[in-house]
Amino acid sequence: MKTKKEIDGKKISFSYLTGPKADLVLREIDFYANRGELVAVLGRNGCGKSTLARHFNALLPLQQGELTVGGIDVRNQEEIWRLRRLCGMVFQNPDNQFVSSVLEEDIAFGLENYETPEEQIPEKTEAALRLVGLDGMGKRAPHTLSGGQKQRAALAGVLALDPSVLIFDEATAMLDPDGRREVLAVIRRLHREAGKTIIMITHYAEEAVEADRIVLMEKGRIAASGTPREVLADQKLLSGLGLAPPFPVKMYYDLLSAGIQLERCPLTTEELVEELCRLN
Amino acid sequence: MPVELKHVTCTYSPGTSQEIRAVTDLSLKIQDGEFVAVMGRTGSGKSTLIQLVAGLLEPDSGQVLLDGLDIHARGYDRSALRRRVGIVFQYPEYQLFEITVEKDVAFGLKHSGLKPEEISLRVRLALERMGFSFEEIRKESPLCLSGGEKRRVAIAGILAAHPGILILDEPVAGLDPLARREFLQMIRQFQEEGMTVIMVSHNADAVAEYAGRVLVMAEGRLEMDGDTRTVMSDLQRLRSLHLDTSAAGQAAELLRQRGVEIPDQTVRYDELLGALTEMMVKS
Repeated sequence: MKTKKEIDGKKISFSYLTGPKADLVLREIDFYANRGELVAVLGRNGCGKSTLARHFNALLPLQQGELTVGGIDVRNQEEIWRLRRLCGMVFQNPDNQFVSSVLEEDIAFGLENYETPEEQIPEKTEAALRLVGLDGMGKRAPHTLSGGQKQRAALAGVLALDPSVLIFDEATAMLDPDGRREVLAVIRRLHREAGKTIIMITHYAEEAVEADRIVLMEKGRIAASGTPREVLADQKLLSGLGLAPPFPVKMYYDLLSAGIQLERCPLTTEELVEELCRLN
Repeated sequence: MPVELKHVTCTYSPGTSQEIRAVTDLSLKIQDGEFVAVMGRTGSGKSTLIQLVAGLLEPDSGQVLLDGLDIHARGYDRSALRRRVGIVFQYPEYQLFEITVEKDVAFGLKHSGLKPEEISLRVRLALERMGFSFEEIRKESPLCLSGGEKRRVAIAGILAAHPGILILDEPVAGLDPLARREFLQMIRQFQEEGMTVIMVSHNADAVAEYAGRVLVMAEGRLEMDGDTRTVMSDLQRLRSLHLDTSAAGQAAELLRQRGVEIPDQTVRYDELLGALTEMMVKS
């Protein structure tokens, strides 16, 4: 029987060091993501969110607890390549995710490693580039691309292998505003149209607004989880974890302190404007 | 120590097929104690601009003046220039390399001619300025610190040289929102004490909240230059240059479109909150 949970982790603990000084970076984390769900993992620098994500495709060995991804036990060394094909990852730095001097070779690299028949490679490469909006750019060298294009190209390399889970580890943190918008638009499309299961690691509350569910992390633990409205509109919860609420939420609470009550707490600027106009 | 660029043009790989004109006929003056933000999309020439100010690039034509002196003139003391103008590159945490934090921060002063005691004192003060307890941090390996801590150590290394001008390239990229605010408040403190701050940033909220003046670069030219309110309230122009606008500025614009009277040039959070509170209380 297939489980609905694409990622299913229980009591995951992890430490980078061993011995008496070893601090646990993850402390008995229970984490899951349903098939097709977009889960944003939010937390301060150093809370363990990237460490957790690196367990999903076995970049880090599972030390304690249980974790299956797409039904594969991450401890199973024989399945590790199937696991990594199923669960792709895009990292923060756009400049160090390429292995070849032109995009199509870079994308073909993964396909070749997975023994894709040679005659299918050009077609799959082009399809992957099309998915991220870089059609016809296969001959370009990575260093001639903008930051947003590089991140999308890195994503194309992952998508060529047709993974069902995609992990974005602060993939927009180093991009300029255009690049950030481009990458977020592609993520949104992959979620809505391609039905991928997506884990988005970020510390921008604004980026988490469109997630199906938000998981808040603090010091290696899961501090809370819920819909964006449950989590992001809870200013007390966020500030207790050292996170900044999105701008409209902060405004809602500051207006409330000044004696002005909006009907409901807005999560986006557009909602804030709606609420204010209703009052006016 | 005012900085002045006079008709500066700078080209990379001149005379080759790779030739790129990075900045063209750029003229501007920055006075002592200003907090200047530099915005511009990738490739607009903003990194070239700050490297010119720091004397790391030499213009093809035009002059870069510090205190009225041409920094590329024969006989100009460029090693002193390195200490007077501190530059913090993007992701400075990747530049740490010494065995201990103390040694890393002291590295830049090695050939300064200062006495060892003076160097020790400066290292201690610089680390304390960046919010560390000197005794606790001095023997740590800089490579074992968290990302935010590393960044502060890297900046302590610049501060130890007592620069009059501090240039920061995307200093808050990658920091979480709270760390970002603490960091920017620290920079503001330096500026209030008289340091000139030049900060390259894509973060429109940080620019609107902290800078006093904004320079916008586009295609190697200075496209906009003015006080923060004037520049940051021109949302249309910023958008046409592919730049972000502040959240408060965007909300103010949407509200105006809906007939709500928000004062012009509302670009900061507190300004918007103040305007809304006043308006609601009146009605």
